[in-house]
Amino acid sequence: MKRLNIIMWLANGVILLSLFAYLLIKSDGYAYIETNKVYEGFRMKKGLQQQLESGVQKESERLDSLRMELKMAMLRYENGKDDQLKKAIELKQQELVLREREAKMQYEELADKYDSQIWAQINQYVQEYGKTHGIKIILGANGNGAVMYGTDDKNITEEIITYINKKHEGL
Amino acid sequence: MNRMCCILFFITVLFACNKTMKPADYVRWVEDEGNGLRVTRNMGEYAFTLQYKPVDYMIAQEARSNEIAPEYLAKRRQQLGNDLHFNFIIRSNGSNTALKEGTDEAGYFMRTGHFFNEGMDDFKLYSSSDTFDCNFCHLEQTYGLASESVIVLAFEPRSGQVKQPLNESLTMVYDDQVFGVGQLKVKVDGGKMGNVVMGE
Repeated sequence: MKRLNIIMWLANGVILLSLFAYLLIKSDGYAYIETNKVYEGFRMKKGLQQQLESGVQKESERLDSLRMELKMAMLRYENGKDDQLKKAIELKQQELVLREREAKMQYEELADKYDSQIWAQINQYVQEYGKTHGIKIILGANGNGAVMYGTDDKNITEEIITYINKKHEGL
Repeated sequence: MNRMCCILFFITVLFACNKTMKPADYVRWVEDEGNGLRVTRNMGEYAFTLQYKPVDYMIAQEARSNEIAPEYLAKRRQQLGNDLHFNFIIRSNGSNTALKEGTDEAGYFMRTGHFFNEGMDDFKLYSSSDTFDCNFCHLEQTYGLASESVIVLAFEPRSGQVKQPLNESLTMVYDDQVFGVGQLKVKVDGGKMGNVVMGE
């Protein structure tokens, strides 16, 4: 009986020590995330990307119909060599160039706006994660040399993705 | 044995009873973030707070008294009906008021103009069963004098979709167009509301 007690005490001691060591490793105040993965895994980004793509699709359909009109006008001109038609074609060409440029600018503006909204939320949620989990520094590894090496136990990318998605859903 | 049964009965009754509160206590209870009806979200320079306003909370706020006549209470409860009322409070973490933070005078007027004219389109509410459009949106105009900007909101669920007093979670989606923070979802939880009642 006495022997059993000793074994039980030893086993408890080993479990407690392992737990303590685990907590010590986990809570030494720094961790890193793979920023690209976090960005790609954030649901808000996926939603906004869909919106952006559907906008691009609609605009490209409008431009396609304009191109088609232009093509038809050029065919008509080749058959008749009408001067008025030539002027109309030139105007349409200018309009097409202008609208293509505008569409590109609008796309870039919108993509920048969405990007800054996404990063504003990621930054906020990562801050909150760090505060609630007692992490002093969270480094962002994005392949540009900010973090050259890190052990897997310091990589909290998946935890962060889960956390920011929960936060984004209002939880 | 009989005595034991009596004690058990009284304990059961005690726990099954709702807690009746004075209006002032009820207001404090509703505004306590721990009870799930007030949720704050920090986002960069701004803090967004969603406050669910039960009908009794609104009546208590109007009456500004701990003594509310039963007839008045019943009448107002009926008038306020089944709508879901919220305050959406925006604060700045910087030194400016929320609507002036990070922008110039033109930006301030653009923001207030947006909430006056198109603000209603920025808010949606959904429960486990449906999505509701905002049917009332009003920015309390303080001309930049108050530290926080309050937007009063109301949503009208079709009958029977959301029971009052609230006993479920509701998520409000704020599709930001002026602060540059994007879409925010804030969830209020009415799970504890069944346990408290405002007394007359």
